[in-house]
Amino acid sequence: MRVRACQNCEYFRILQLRAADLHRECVSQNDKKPARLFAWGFVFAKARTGLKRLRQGPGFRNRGQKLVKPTNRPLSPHLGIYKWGPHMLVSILHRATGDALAIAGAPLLIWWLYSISAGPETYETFTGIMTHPVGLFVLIGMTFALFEHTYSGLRHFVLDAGAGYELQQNRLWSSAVPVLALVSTAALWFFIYTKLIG
Amino acid sequence: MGSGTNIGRVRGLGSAQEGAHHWILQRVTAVGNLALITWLIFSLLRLPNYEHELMIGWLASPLVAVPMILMLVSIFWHLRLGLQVLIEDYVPDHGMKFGLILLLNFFAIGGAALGIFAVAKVAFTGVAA
Repeated sequence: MRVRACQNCEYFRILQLRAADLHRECVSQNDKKPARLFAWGFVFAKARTGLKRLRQGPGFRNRGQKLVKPTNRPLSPHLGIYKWGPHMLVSILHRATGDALAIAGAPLLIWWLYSISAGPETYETFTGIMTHPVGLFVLIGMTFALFEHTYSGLRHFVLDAGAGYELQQNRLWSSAVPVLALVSTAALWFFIYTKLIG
Repeated sequence: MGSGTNIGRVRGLGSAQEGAHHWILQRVTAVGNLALITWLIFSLLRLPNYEHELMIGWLASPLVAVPMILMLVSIFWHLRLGLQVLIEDYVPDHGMKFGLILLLNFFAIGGAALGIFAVAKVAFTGVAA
């Protein structure tokens, strides 16, 4: 996916998501320019700017009519163009697991507490659903999300302290996070299995 | 403050003054979650079984009910801050964003209230078998 710069305001280049509103305002201001009366005039103007742009090479003129070369500015391209690495996976998983825990995990926790307080029958219903294969699948998924988010969060504490940015270290710990999460999930459920069934 | 381009009009206005607060609270509640969920997992694993009667006795103990209530506060606070960032990042429309954050507040406060009430009910009254 290519990032296209706005011809007038440069906002899209700098902060793609957060500045989308400012960009929209810029577009609507642009729409208020006096309408060109003759279609040919419009075509001619476009052709002229096109030729001008060809002559000046890559880049565009901003409102101050200063030529901005694309190499002058940091670009903010979308996910598709990056080479995948463990740090990227862990970052995406951190958000995904956090949202899963917030949207599904927390309501499950409340349901569990509510079912205990509501009496034995409600509690039986809850445990019945949660020991059904589908319920177990959700619970194991939530366990993995919890461990992944926790270990990834610990990694963030280290990064917040300004450490762990060296390429090798960063790669090591971002690879370790999902592996540790999988191992912890397996160990916890193995423990539960041997305790309740074995 | 300039009156020309958009960037000219906002340049130099400074920060919104509250970004760091959100960031710090996210970390503070993260530490709370870490401690209290570790406690919950070990406390649950140490139980001999998970029959209703035993769960009532367990949850009614002050040393379980109090950390459980603190955990609910910490979790739902952290969750509210996290989902707020999700909404702010992916919902460009102002009205939709406002509505979703309103719903998020109801969800976070309502969920925590229901959980805390359930724990308090068990702790104070017990439940007839």
